Amino acid sequence: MKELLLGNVVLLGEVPSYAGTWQSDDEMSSVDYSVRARFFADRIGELGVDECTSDPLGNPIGIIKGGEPGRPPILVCAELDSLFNPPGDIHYAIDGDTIIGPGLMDNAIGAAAVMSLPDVLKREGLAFKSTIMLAGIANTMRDSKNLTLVERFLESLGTKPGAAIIVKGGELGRLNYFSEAVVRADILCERRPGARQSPPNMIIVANEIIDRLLELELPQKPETAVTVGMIRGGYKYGTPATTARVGIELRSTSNEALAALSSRIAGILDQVRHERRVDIEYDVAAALGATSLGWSHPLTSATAAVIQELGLELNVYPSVSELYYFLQRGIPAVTIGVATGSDYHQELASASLRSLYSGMAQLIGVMLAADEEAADA
Amino acid sequence: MRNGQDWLSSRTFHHSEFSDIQALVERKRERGLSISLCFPTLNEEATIAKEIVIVRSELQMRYPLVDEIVVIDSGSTDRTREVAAEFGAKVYLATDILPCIEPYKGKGENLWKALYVLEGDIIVYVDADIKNIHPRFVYGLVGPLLKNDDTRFVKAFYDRPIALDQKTVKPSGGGRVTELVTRPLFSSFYPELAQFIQPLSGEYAGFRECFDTIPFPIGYGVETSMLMDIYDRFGLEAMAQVDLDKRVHRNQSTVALGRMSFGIIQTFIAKLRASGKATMAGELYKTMIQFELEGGAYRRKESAIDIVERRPIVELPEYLAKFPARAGKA
Repeated sequence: MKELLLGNVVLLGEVPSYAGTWQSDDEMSSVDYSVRARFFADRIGELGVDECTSDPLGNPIGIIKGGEPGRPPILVCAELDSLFNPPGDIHYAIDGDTIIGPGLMDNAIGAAAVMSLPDVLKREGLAFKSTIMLAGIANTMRDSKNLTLVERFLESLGTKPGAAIIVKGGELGRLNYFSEAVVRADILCERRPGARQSPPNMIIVANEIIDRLLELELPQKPETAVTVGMIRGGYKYGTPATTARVGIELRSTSNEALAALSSRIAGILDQVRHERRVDIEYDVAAALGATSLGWSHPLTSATAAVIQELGLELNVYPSVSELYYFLQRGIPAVTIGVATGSDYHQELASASLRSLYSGMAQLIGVMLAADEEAADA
Repeated sequence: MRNGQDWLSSRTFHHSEFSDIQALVERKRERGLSISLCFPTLNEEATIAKEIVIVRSELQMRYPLVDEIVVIDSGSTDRTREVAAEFGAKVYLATDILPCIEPYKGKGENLWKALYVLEGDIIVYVDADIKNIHPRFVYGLVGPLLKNDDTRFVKAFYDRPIALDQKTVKPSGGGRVTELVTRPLFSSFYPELAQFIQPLSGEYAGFRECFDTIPFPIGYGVETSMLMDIYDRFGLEAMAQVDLDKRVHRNQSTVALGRMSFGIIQTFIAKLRASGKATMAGELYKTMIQFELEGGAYRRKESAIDIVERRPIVELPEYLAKFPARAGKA
């Protein structure tokens, strides 16, 4: 069985994944990801799902029919994109207990685990009462700018799932059942056309904004933080930059605290806009709320039990990704990892094969538990 | 040139023509054939696991096209044999096969000895240093053999980007020995064989009789020699080639390619003489002379490359004892 799983990891991981670019104003304009989505669709079809379809955005969905058609389906999904895309072809290697390759942990190995399910379930003779939906969701990456596509994916589902399992590469033992409030935003500074006294260099303006962000006094409770994650500006050594862009992430365990922080940042931007006479745009790429499935929810407790029964160390922490969209829609959902790895966004990202086999057992265990318990909740 | 353009167009395939693997499996069953895959290895721990995993998952477990995967190792000093066995291949050390005969070291020796341990009617040889292994490397080769009754031997060709290091892949530059040595020789003496796009490729497949009835040089020159012998014995119409798209492999130094070229030329001339196509007044020298720049001075480096040839294995009593149906086929 391990060869089937590894074969899928290699074959899917070596199909290029592109997630659009930061400069793209229209996240829908990038269709590069479709190669991996098409591979996923072809593969789950070949591996024996009962039906294979795709949503209007081209995300592949495989259906394994359950024994009790009246039950709501269980959705098992993984993002298909890899944030790190090396130039040239992608080649994976297997070295002893380690598999190595770019994009492996984020998220080729998670997607391959989902893609392998039709084959593994069939070979193990496992059947479910609920219909199982296996989905690969493309174009979710790039600073979560396109997390909105997860929302559109959920919107497009004809039937609301009774439970959802979001599969990530790592780390094995991870359990996300609640989310933090998160805002990811780009601050774009541009020279105002025709302004006589505008400052010549937008990098300096961006720097002033960063200084003011760093001066913010943030509450320790509810825990709230600002991260300046990206900066870009200018095009030539000797020429003052006419544009600069700063990418920030705001996080809080409280929706109210995050709203208050957002308001203070808006004030800072207003002040700099007027004092420096520049155009400043605040472009929110993703806004997630703080929400929770609850520790006592059957899906949470069943997932925790499976992880512990496999002898894995349970690692509970908040999601800052797509889980929010599921919970917000009233879909009981958890995020789990299927492997232990390292160097997620490097050329030599790696994962332990042994951990992947445990991860696969964990995934099936959670699916069975969801089929037995969570769907009845 | 006999069969000129006709052969090239009618006997050159693309792997995609055989991507319906289930159809190949059914054809194999209809014809009552079995298929053995052989990886000759020498220190290939970096790539062998992935090669075996891909073939086992796609062409054994998912589609039962390949009946056995066998690694014939020349005496690796790394973990090649251990890794290959761990991932489910049958592993043999070449010196352990037919221990009663004097052993030699070389890829040709491995390929020849493999014939004794492989059980299949169709034998597929695939080099173990391919970084972008894909099932097409196998089904592309066996496809023409299974689908066309008159095809007995298939040779691979491909784009050959070479991996200079972990990050740099040069899109062309492979096949230097082919273009500078083998093709000129074939063009001069065997123009039909010059139609093989990559006569030196390490991936080929054929029915057992293509391999067990021909001699094998133990080292360099085995691929060149094989083409000449199969051509002489079975004719061009029994041969085909298949485009496997891209193959990424390790780069070799010019000095190493020089030694390879020397071996090929030696083999080629020996076969010309044996076939009566050429005569020579004396014997060839068996030492390749090269130079290395060391400390600002050139240092002469000699490599003795002796062309030892294994006779057709079908002539070996041990082989006939194992495969009695092959008796009288020499």
